[in-house]
Amino acid sequence: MGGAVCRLALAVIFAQASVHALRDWPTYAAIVENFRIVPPQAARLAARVVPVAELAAAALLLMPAPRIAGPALGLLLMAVFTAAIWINVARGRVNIDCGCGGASGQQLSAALVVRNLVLCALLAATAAAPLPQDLNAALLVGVPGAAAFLVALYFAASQLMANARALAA
Amino acid sequence: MTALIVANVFAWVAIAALSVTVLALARQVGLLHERVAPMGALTMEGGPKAGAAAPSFALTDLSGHKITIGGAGGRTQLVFFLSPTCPVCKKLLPILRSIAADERRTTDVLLASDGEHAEHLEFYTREKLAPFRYVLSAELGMAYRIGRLPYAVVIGPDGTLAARGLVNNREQIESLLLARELGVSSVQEFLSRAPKQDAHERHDDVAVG
Repeated sequence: MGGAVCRLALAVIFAQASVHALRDWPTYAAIVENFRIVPPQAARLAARVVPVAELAAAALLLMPAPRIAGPALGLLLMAVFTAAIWINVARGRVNIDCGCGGASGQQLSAALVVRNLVLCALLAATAAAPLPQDLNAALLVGVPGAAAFLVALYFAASQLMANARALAA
Repeated sequence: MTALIVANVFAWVAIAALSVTVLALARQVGLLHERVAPMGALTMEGGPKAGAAAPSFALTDLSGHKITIGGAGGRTQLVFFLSPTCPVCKKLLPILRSIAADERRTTDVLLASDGEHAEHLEFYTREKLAPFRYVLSAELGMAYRIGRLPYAVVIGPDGTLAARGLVNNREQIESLLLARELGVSSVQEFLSRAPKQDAHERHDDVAVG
């Protein structure tokens, strides 16, 4: 059951990030370029590819087979995001927009790297966890309920991280 | 068994309610930070008022030419405050280009920022900002109490500050120019000056007195 909960929660988080990026694509493209990981032309391409990949990861996470595809794509994306954030934190460029979706105007921090590592751990766990075979009432209520709880926790944590930055300023 | 089900349902409802509460509280704290941020709150209050004479600054732009911001120059100046690391500013650049082209008979669109010359010159070249004049001046930003970006200031041809405000899209930039044409400091002020007309226009389908 834990596997299904994590898959559903992670799918919602990836889908939300994708929708957030696609709704204001010009801003998202500028945010990606701002990370200064790849040249501007490549950044614009990345800004097109990433939201689509996020949406694909969300869809794959919800599919029972191939079991490994969703978590694998998710981990690949998270690895890229976390590396990009870490490089900029190391460069001292912490005042740029994260482009994470959810909390608006969230900036970079080491806490964000930790948050992403937690998401990576959840993704890895879902790859290994078996999916429930028989549906029953407890699962039908429990899985969406617990997933919604995890999603709320994720957004609350992101918002609190953004707040902590404002407090420290 | 029934007691367990009741307890479980209650627990789920409680978890859901508490999750929503924690999330809402965190967001409210975030909004409060935005409102009380030292610069954020002052942007509305501090600095020259619309209708007053705009402070005049004799500056040198990135390419080394002299430029005066403020003062009665005979042309409207739209000063757009930006930074190379502000994503929304970058999004607005093409919109500014089109506004500059549309309004070129009456209006000069200028870009303003502060910081290291080399970094801004690189930004200016990379974003092909040659059609705009670009000035670096910490004093200019401080005079207008710019705390958040992108911010725009419109100075009329007679040197009075026509309108200013935080802008996030084309409509907001155009509303500042429109406010100047209407002779009010903001479109909000225009609407509040003409309450009847406003009520009539906006609530056509409702019988408003």
